[in-house]
Amino acid sequence: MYSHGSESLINQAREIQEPELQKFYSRLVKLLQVKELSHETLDSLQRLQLILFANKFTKILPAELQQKLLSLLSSPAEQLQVLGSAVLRETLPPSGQELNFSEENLSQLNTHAAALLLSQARSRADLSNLCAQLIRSLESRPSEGPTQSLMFTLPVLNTVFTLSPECLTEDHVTLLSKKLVDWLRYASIVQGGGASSGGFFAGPRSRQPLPIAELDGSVSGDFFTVLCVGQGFTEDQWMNVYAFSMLRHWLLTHHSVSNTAVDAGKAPQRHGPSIWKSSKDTGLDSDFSRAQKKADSELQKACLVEAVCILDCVCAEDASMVYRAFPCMKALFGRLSSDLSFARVLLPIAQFYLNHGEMDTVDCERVWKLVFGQFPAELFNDAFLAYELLRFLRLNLENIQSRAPEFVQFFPNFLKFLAWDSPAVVEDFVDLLPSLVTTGTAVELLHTLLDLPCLAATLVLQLRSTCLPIADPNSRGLLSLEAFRNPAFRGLFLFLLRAQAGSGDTIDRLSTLHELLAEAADWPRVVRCAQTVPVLLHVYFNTVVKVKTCRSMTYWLRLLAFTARLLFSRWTTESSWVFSCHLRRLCKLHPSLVVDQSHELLEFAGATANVYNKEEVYTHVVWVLGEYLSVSSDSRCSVKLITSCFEALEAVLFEITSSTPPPGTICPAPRVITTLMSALAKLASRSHDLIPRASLFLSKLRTVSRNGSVAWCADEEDLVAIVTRGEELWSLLKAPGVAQSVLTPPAYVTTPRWHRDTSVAMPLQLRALTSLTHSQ
Amino acid sequence: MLKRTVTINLYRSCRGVTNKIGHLVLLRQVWSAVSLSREASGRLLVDPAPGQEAAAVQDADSGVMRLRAGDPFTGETVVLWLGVHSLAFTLVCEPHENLLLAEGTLRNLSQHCLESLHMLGPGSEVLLKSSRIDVLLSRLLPHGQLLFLNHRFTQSLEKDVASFLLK
Repeated sequence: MYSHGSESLINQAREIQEPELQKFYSRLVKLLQVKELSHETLDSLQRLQLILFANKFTKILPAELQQKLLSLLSSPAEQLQVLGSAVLRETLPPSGQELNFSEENLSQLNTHAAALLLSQARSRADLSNLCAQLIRSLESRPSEGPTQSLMFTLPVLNTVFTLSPECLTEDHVTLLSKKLVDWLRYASIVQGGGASSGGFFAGPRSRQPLPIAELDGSVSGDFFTVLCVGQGFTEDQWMNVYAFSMLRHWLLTHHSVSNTAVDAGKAPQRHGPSIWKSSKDTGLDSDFSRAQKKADSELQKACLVEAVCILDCVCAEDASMVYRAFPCMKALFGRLSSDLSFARVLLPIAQFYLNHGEMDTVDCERVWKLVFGQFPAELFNDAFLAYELLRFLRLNLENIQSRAPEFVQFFPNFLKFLAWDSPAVVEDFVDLLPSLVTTGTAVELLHTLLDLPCLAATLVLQLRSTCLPIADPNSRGLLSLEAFRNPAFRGLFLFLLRAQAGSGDTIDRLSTLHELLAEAADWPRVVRCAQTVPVLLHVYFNTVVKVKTCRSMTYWLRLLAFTARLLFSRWTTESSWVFSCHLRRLCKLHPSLVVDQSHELLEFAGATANVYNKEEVYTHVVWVLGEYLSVSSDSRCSVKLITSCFEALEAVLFEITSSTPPPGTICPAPRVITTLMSALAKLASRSHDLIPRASLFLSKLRTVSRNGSVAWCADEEDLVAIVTRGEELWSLLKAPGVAQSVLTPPAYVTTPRWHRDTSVAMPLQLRALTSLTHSQ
Repeated sequence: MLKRTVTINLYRSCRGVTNKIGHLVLLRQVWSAVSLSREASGRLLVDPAPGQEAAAVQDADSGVMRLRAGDPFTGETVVLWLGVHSLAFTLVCEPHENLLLAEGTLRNLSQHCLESLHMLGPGSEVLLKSSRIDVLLSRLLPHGQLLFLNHRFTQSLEKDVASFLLK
């Protein structure tokens, strides 16, 4: 286990001083001069690697040491090759000392040297060079060198064209494609070395090559595939494994090569049918039930995934393949679709249906039902499936929207992944959520987001109730679990667990549900989930503003009053911040909404209790009323409306500044009070009859607070600030014309063009105003 | 609880080109993913003993994480992790790679690392025997290439590695 010893070793490696290091280098050079491999040499090399790795900056080694280390790469002892390569990868090569392999010493190029070459390649020319040499070595079959020299070639080549696909010339692509087909199609079907176990007494008969077998022990058919077993393997069988492992990436990269100037894309297409045949044999025809080992059954699933993906690639390149591949895919789907343990194999099949299955609408329906319906509902706790399913949605969004538009309806299902493991999938939902917001879903989606922590708790209960028998002592004492099992509350939980939207936006008995789940508030899963809600609300509101659906806009304005429904009060701060922020943005975009919704807004702003328990949202609602309740925002705004708003706000302000806060609450925030005062002044400036009332109130406030302490404001500095603001507004209202132009500036003032209209610019007006107030 | 994450540098050739800072970023992300998952599952950890590597890997919790482009790798990547007691093994993959295969490979590699470096016991062999990891990787994940190895192929490679470790 990682111990204190390790820590002190790392510290030693970090703190080693330069003179000491130089001494260490020269000792190592001496050690490396000795031919035989000593324990001390190996240990010193390991220490050198640790020193280089533990230090922040890459070091340059003395030239002599560097040279010695380079020569280790061709040492017959693999341990020295490994260490030489590992140490050199941590350093910078001094110029002129690059590793170089030409025709002559190519046989010395081993996997560890190749790793160094790749990590230190400085230009495309370096890589092209390496590629050319490796491909030449593939051509000169049968291999003269040791077996291993051929085995690492494909992975190295694969790495090279990951880094830079242009490194391969057209001829290279053709040649390599041919080679891949050879290995995939024509690898020998008899067992390799070590197959004859007859030993000394065995006659020549038992040395007859044995045919290779399938995983279940039966003799395999015409092809060698990665699912074949034997006592030993020949080189071309190993290459078959390597070739199959890199085939898909080869097809994907080849696809991008064909887009460049190099028109090399034809080769694999020509070989398409045989590649298809090989991959088909590798996975699709094997029998899953008889697999001997668990690891092998996992491998079979992986092979199926690979084979389906390869077929998908091949069909994308050559549409004529679709009619041959489709029946095979259909059969596979039919066989696997009832077994959820194959869910991760069924996802690539769904991808295939999405890409090539237009004609089979009946099967497509079944595929979508499975992927959007059953998988999230039953496998929400499988992290890998969650990743893969969300990735499938993310990458195919446009295609899904046109082929299976009903997917949007399944958002309650998709959100189960988020509720279960929010930190792991929140990134995916940031990308996906906008596409789930439509005119039809907007309202229900908002409710569902707000209820997400409840869903998290319910999912935990669902799993527990299936895992723990009712009589289990661990399940006793959990009130929420009992509630979950209680038929009386079944409907509530079933609503949260619904797979599809459309059964109603929300439910009446939310508060009952919250009470039942109260003990879940600090379960880790629920807490994490609640933390992600504000992030998603943010994404939601950003989208909903763009989706032009007034119904949802007015609706969520009304929802403000319900922010307390968020289950867990300590997270409401963030959520209400998001609400407030978007309320401001929305009203700025559509000022007439304030007049439309004035009834709801006034009801909210007129309730004194909201000052104390929904301070954040309350402040913004008051600001919005003061700012946008004017004729310039909407011509329907009447004097009567302004007056009633003024009266409602005045009453609240009067109440909170004339009494002590109700028991159990703290004094109202100074910001609420100043926002209320400003809103009153703004409204008064629009309806001059109200000015005397506003002025009277503001002057009273000054008189009251002259004593220096009031019951509704604990901090003296805050009180001073409040009174100052009151005096400013009071002075402003004394000149109604000025007050109106400052408090309800015409639109052009708020869209600054000061460099052009110097005479009506806001700074100028403010300066004039300052001099006015000062002179009085 | 997870004390420290050891990110075994599962060397994936040059694909995951990254600097040491990038490594730290990754390590932190994995650390927090493993911690969160442990906290959420609420499972109690029992200290394992040397010799129980296979069981420890079987019991290990695992997960997957998406890293956006530039955070810290240039392209988007997928990180698979396997939490074995106070250790975490990670495998950085490209999005198109076969995750089922990657998962199996990570389990297999982790078990071999635990065994050949005696990571469940006391001591600090992991730092001064790191070449063993290089050898394991060169066979089971050569130059970052995920391989479709059935149990016979795996056995054959294991024999090869064992003969190296005996030296």
